[in-house]
Amino acid sequence: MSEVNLQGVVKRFGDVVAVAGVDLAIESGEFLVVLGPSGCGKTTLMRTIAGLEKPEAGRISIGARDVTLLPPRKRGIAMVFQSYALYPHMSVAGNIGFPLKAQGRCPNRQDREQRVHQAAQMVSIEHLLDRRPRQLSGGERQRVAIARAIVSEPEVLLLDEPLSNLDARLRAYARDELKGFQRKLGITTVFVTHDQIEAMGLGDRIVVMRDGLVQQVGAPQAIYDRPQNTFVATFLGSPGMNLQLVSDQVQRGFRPEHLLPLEELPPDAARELFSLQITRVEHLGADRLLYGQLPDYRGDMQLTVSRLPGNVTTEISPDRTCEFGVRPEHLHYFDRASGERLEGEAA
Amino acid sequence: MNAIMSRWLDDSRLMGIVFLAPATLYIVLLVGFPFITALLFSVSTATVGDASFNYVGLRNFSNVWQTPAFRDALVNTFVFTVVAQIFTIILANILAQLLSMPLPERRSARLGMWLARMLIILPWATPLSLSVVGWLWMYDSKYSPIDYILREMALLGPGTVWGPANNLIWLGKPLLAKASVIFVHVWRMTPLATVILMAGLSSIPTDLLDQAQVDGSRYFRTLFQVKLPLVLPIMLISLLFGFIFTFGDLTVVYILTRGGPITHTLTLPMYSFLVGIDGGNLAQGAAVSLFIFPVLLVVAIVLLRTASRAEIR
Repeated sequence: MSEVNLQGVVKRFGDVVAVAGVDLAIESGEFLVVLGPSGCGKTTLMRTIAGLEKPEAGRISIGARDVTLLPPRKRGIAMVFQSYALYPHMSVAGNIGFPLKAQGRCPNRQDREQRVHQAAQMVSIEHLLDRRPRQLSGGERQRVAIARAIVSEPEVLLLDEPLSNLDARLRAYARDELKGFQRKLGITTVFVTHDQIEAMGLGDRIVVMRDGLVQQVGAPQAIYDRPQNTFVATFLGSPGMNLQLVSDQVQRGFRPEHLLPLEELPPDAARELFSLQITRVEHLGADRLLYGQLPDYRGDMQLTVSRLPGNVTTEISPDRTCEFGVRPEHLHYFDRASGERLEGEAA
Repeated sequence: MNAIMSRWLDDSRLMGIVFLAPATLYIVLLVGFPFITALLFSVSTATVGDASFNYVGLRNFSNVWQTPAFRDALVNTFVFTVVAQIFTIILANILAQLLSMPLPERRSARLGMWLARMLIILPWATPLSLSVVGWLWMYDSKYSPIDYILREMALLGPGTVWGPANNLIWLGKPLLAKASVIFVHVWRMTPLATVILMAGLSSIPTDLLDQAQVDGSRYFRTLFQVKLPLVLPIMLISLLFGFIFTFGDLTVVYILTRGGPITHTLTLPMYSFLVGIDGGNLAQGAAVSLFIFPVLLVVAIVLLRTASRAEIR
């Protein structure tokens, strides 16, 4: 368990800048999720922490040690790859024991077997120790990869989209389990994903990245409630935040679930009015998505989405214009040119 | 006209036969026919002067088996083949490792690697007979450049370790001649084995190698415990290829030593040639060459079975 500090980390591949100067302080024992669209540099950032990539500039420290120039084996890290990267020619026990042998920290064979057993027990795969990776299901492989990562008791655990190869049902379960291990071990964890639901559900804090730069760092709910810029606002949430141009300088944002039919808002509360021209209604079981057109200050139409929970029974059909409202505390303002959040009622 | 053509082209059975015909013809004429002829000759008394067929059963085989020269040839063929494969696979592994090293992002580095790879494959691309003539000169009893270098290094010549003679006479002494033949086989097979191994190495997922690094594994552990086990099936294929090529090879021995001194480098193909063509005894020559067949058959079966299973993961 150690904190991790990144200062001005830059990583280029030829002319492509994958990580463009990242400062990040990861607290000891924290579960930090790095979230961003594909190609945003999140995996490169993690590989740089692991020591698989050498940064062109910047410093990385783990605990009190500057590890910028150290190879992976001297960093006290473990990593789980998206593909799990199990050694196909070794048994499960061989896979889990490999780091112990490679790091030479556990020369006694009995000790090693005992630690392999403990790690396997942690993820409940003791019964699979003699199997080969190809005989395992996706979920079992993932557990083997995690057991191999924790067996050497690393200071920092790096996870690169470890859930993306699991089917949707298993994923929710695995997420819960992963969080459980992490709490139990109290290990500093960095988790890379492009899936915002995973990020919101797992992270103590989330780092949102785009084009090699950190956009915002904070607790999941805080980022969701107060996005720093329009990228974060539209990337988080499904669908993302609606944006409406209200002047040459200012954009106004509101989340789909806050855009409600007037009759659903308390009649005496303050609210901003929107007349939405409904084009399509999507029934998603638990809730309804309404797609509509909303004019901006110049009269140009913009796609706008409202998300109605199942208990809202108001009848809404396409090709009609309906009156909607948003409570003022749910409105966000952004600079039109930079996309940065504007504080207060700048509009 | 067009309608008939397109009906023919759509007939998968007809087109199957048409497409298979060239290969079938090739095998029947250039493999099947000589093979059957050899089978027939081996149970007859045929000679170069008289190809009439008198059936003598397996007499040729038992006669050949009792000839000391044949026993030498049999042993030599196995020894040459096995020893050459051992050295080839070791060298090819080292070369493949070197040639698949990550390169710095410079054009000169890539150019240099390209050049090195091309040079490595050259011995395989050169016609064997020509390159073996080159080796004949290298091993020359008087002008051998190897001897020259040894003399310059003061290892050969009067008053030195390997002296007092000025030449080693590579192809004239039993052990040296054997070693010389084996060396040329190794030189000849290493390029192919290297290329096959490089292909195998490049098919290892990079995630696995990254994982090994993260797990704390260093170069040699990763090499012996991760990379080599994963390329093992492919390595086996290159071994079997080398085995077939070396076992049935006539060129190297024919040009370098013709089996000499005495029978110290005699191999089965060479002996078959000496008996059947030079000696004119077609029947016995055929019998000798047929001893090669079961060995190559077994190797070929193992090869095909391995090849169909050789995939990483």
